[in-house]
Amino acid sequence: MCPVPDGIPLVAYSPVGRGFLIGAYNTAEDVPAQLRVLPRFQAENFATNRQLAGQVESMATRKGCTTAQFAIGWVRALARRPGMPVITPIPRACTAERVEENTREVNISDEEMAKIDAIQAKFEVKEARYPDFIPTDT
Amino acid sequence: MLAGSNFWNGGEFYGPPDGNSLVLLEKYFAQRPEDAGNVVLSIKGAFNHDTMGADGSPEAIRQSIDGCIAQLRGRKRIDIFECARRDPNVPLVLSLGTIDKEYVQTGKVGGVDLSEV
Repeated sequence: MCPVPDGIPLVAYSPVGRGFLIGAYNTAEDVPAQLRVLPRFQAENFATNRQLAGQVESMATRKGCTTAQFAIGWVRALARRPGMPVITPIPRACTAERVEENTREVNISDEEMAKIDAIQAKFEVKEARYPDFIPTDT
Repeated sequence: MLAGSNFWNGGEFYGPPDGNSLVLLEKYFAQRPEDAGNVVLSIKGAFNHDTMGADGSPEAIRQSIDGCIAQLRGRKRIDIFECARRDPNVPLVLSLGTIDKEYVQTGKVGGVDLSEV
């Protein structure tokens, strides 16, 4: 992640990976049409990336929270690291139950963060967040 | 709000024009005007449906922000406005300058945000 100048807060959208991390899609065929433009959701990359989601699910289960709570907690925990700004995750929710779920704060410990770092270091997420025609890092 | 989640993000193009974030927000704050002062509202706009990308021109920004403000009908101020990404055809200083000089400095919008730059 690029360094953020002092005093500028960060808004973290799609903290739950557009449903990917909560196992909303078990196979590439489950992915709704509007998300299929995203490389990480495409058939040839899906199975690999789903393994990472599986690891997040396992960690959440061990912790006794939902995967969404775990993922949102991880985003918030990043703000503890030196040089990181205030981070506000903005998970989407379409029901009151999901709002309640998302807003139950779960503290991800430094030890858990280290485990996640180790998983990320070894796991190669397949392909970019966006296709070339959708600009990022301009 | 009950859970203390008061940073809300919406988009002019999230949903059809007659059912977008601003329409829903206007209905909400009509029912709960007391929440208006407690919510930090960030709105994304300046999206061109023909090009399916950001339009960072001063004209498009004005149309977008004016439209969003109108849809809110005075019930809630837009605290932060951001363009839907960066328009490669318009210098960022022009886009952000328009938002700052014509909207932030006049109090119509609280501040400016950058999305996926």
